[in-house]
Amino acid sequence: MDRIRTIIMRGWARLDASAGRRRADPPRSGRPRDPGTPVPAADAEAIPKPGFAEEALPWLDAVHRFALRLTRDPTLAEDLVQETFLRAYRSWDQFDRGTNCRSWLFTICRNTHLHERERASTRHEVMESDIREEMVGTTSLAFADRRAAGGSPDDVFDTVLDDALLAAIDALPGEYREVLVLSDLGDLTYPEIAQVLGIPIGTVKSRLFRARHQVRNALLDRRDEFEMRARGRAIPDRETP
Amino acid sequence: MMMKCEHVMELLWEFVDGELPAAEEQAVREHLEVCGHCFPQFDWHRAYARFVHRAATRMENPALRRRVFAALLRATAEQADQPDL
Repeated sequence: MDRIRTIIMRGWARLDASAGRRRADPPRSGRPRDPGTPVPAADAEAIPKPGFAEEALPWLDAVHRFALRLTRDPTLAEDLVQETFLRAYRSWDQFDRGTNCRSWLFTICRNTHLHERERASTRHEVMESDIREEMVGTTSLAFADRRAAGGSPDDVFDTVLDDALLAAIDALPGEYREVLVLSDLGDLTYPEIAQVLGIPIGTVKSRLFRARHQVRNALLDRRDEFEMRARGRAIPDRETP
Repeated sequence: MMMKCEHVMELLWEFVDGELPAAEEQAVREHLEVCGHCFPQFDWHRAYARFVHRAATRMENPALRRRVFAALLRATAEQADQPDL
């Protein structure tokens, strides 16, 4: 009898907590969207092609995030971003102003990357596996540097999470990774992703949901470790005068 | 009629992403407002979306911005030198 009562009480407590959360943070559709990084007016004036600074340049950070996950190498990613924007700039006349510039830039970025990778693989076929290992190493190192630079426990915790998030994303199979990065880091909608990748919307959805499932599980698997690391970092900070 | 839990579960990511047609969106929202089983699931999905958004928007790189800007200015100068290209 006691056991049954405990089960009922626990179930009730869970429902009660859920009702509390619902009141505090009601279910709304849609997630936060990246508004892009505004370009200073002086910079915009220095670029003579009309509209390029206002429509294309705000997406530089978004394209960079995409490039980082495509190449998994900070140096290659920066080169790829520069090449993407140079190509976009040269063919700016062909862009239909007022349509989605972000998707257009992602498409150029992806095509440039695929083209570069094809060229590199014909040149260094044997080296590829070695290079890939090296690339993954470099990415982790960059984030380790940021951790070592210090900051508040919140920053440290967030950085550890960034690191884990990126590791989880990088561990995804290529076709899943691409969809997840375009959606979650690039903020594209399902139809926009379908257009960039040239695949049906149904495929976008199924790949995206599976990819998120994997990433979320990977993060939850490491939850205890994050808590330990965050606590471990917080104590010495407090002792420092 | 109230939407069934299984159906809400299937549509949860699309709801979080804001990709559902208005009628379905409303049906899912109404269900989540009262369902003690589906809401916590939604809460996890939403937490994931918020976390990834926060993580993503932190990754800015002013140095790269300056570098690309300089490259664009060079490209402008080159094009001015060769007006027929």
